[in-house]
Amino acid sequence: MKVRCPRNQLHDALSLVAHAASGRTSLPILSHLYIEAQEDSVKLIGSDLEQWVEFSVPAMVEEPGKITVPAKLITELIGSLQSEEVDMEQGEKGTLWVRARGAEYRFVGLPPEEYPSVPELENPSEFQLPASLFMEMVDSVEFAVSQEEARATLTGLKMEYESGTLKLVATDTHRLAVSEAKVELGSGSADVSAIVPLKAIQLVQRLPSQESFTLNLSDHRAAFAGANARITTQLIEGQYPNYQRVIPAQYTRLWKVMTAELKMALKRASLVARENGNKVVLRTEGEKLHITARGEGVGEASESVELVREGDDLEIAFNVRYLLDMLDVIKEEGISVELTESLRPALFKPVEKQDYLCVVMPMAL
Amino acid sequence: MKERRAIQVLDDQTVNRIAAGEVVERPAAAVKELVENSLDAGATRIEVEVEMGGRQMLRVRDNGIGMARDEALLSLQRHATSKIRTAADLFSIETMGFRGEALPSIASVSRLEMTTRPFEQESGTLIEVEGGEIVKMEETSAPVGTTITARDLFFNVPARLKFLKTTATEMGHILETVMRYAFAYPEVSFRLLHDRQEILFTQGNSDLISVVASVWGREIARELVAVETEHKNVRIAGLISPPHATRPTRQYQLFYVNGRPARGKTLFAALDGAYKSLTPEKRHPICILMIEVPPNLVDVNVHPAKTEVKFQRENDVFSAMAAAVRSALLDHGMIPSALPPESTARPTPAIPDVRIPTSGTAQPPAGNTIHPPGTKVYMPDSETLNEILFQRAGLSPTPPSEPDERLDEEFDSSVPSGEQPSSDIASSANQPSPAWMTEEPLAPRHLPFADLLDGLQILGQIANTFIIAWTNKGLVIIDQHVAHERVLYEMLCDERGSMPIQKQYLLEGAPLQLDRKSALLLQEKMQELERIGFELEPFGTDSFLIRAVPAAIAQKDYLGLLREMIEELVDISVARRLPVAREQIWTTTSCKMAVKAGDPLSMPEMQKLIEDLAKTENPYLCPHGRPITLTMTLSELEKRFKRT
Repeated sequence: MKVRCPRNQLHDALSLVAHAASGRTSLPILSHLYIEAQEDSVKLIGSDLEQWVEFSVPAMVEEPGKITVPAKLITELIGSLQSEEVDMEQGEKGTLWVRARGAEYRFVGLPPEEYPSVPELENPSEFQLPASLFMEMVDSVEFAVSQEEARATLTGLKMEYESGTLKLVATDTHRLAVSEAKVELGSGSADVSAIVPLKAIQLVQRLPSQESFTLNLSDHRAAFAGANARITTQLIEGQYPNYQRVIPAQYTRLWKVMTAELKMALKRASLVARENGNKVVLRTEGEKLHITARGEGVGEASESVELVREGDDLEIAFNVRYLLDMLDVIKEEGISVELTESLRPALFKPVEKQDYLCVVMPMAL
Repeated sequence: MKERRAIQVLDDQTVNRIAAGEVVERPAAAVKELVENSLDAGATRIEVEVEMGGRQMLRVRDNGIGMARDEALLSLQRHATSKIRTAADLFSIETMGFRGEALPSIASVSRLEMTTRPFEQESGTLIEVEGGEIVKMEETSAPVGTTITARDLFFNVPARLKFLKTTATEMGHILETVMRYAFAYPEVSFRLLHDRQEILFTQGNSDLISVVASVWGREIARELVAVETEHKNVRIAGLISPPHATRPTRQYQLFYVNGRPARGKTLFAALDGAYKSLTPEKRHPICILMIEVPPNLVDVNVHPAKTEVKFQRENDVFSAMAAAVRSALLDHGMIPSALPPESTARPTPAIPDVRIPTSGTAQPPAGNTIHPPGTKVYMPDSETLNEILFQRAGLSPTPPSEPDERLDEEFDSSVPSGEQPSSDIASSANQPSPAWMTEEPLAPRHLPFADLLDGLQILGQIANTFIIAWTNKGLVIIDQHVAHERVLYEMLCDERGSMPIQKQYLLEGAPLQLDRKSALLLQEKMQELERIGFELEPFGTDSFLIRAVPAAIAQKDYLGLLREMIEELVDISVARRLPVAREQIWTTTSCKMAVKAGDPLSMPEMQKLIEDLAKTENPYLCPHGRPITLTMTLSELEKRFKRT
């Protein structure tokens, strides 16, 4: 193998791919990256056997070939070089020479044929969608993914496709976020669902921006492919809770508030609330929504924002963090809140948009 | 049917050989004796019915061999037994009872009614005894078997009556008793009713796993693997849990020696030895182990309650236990191997299918057992309980529960008792030992903690467990877990609490399936758990729905934490023979909610923790009695480095 690559692009690619490489030493080859030069590009692969990231960088290939090299070393070296271009050449016994303007390094690799191959997806359902749309959907639900390992299925993002709609769902048992979009099915079964590990989602979010995006879902794996990168992941096995059941179908009270106004008020109130389990109390009175918080030994907060309201007055408490997480991802000007009672779930939606919702459970008053 | 042996009065010599004991000290003891008699009579169905925790009425009904009139009469005399003849027989006991004093003892402290009919006779006998005096005897029609009803237990022993605990506690003991026999005799169908509500039912289909499922719940039943080994005359059979499914207490460890419930250090030690290095410290495997040894190699006569056993060849029991556990775990691939984690297959559930339905849908076994469809949850007498709880509320921090044991884990020092002279460390400074941290334990100091905050400067965290700080007083080492535990504990205890406990509701009630005993306790403690932020509602037999959790642990594994808390509480309530006090719940809760050893903390988090700790009333001991802070002054340091 003998190649010349643009250093910046190579470094961006390495940083992403190295993220997938495992820190575990039990299988040493997983702490390496796989590098293969072919035609006019260099393909990099990193994996921890749960996720595989493949990334291609344009290169002038003099001699094709393949090699593995320690992920951390090569990434840090390429990052700290200052030249425009980098030369890489295969040495004896699986070693790799890296040369750039006066710098010359040799790294010891492992046999490339031992590198675990990227698994194939069996009969995947394939969707094409604008990358920006997909990223927006991911961002708008990601905060609700549970961090708690005890319930494995909730540590992933649920993706399901049904009658022309792709839905992304996340819940941590206190809140639920659902984002959906009309997407056309490219090929495969029209009825598919998958629980994608958060780590895979985070890798997807790191992909450089691009126009369109291909999503492949199969029974045990999913793959996300852009122009020059592809992320393959194992799915979380198990039964995702029936989230439809917790979306309230009816309401007796409806509030409409300006998103930014509510968000700023809550942000300020949270300064005090964080001393008290993040609790904020929301109470309607006429055309006002009063927000109060108390932090023991800190003080009190009181805010009020304009509100358009249907139904009786209500007092209800929330974890302010949960509200802010949700408000942070709502881009629309106005937000509607559908409520019933103070210990019943509240349904938040952007006003006049049906493609996003977030259910938040209240705290005790 | 069992072979019949006529009942006779024991000869004096034998009587003397048997240490007389207080056989019936509480309703559960009476239940135990009567159930054992039923088992010895070869019953395949035993029904225990209790009213008011056994105080008002307890009845044991069996379908055993029954007794003819003469035998029935004889059985009410002290030391009348069909089970042994001479003292020599004591060394090869194969029946449960043998003293011949159970029935007369119960009869002497209650109004007892016995109905019995042997299978070969057409009619039965009814005998009524009041405080030991036979007041009525007549022929009666009765099913084959024996029914003994004891009413007004201890009516003529007011002192004993006084010592009885609440209905819930007594019922807990009875349940425990019946449960133990249900495990030992899976071929016998047991049924326990309290105030006409069924609280335990086993089918008697000889399947131990199904007994476990109906008593401890399916979740536990699914975890267990079968054990069966024979080793030097010692046969061990039963069920054990793989190392990954252990419990914080020994509540789920049952041993039987030759069919008799047994306990004793030997057994615990043998089991612990077998699991050594497989389970984390302070975790205990679940087990139900039937140990069979030749009757002449075990002395069950050590204790009148017959639970303490002595083996003649302890080593054989040890090695048999080790072999049994090891081979069972090996068979199921449950001993961790040195292979990388991705190549070791996850332990497959060893018990493929638990066949037994839960009691709600249980099929009545063939026969005349009455089994109402849909059983209700037993509600303990909460009023009395609350009285006790309120009396006990607002006390100063709990006395250390097991200080020595816990202390030894973390520190090699003794429990701090009062003020320690500051020369303590200085005096040991003569031995130049660079490893003073490990070899020379520091004495926990009782300085006013506010002083320790003067010039507080946090240096860092070591082993993600201890916070190291420098203050005007010297070097301070703080155990982060116990420090946080103390902070939370005082927060929980303070009723006017500066920090109210915030409750976060769940989108959907999380189901919590418990075993019967834990469920009973939870019913009882529901209110207290609500005060610390859990909201639960009963959801069928032994099941609950968690509606809300303390906001502080909302993002943690609240289900696991709650489960562990309940288990610890169950263990405490058994160990202390007292209803668990509110404080105890709080102690346990604060421990479970606190940051753990091994949690990395940021500087601001450490700062906050120490400030909070400084505000507590007792920053020196955690609610379990472990020390929180250790201090070493600058002069002590200087002495150690021979700078003075």
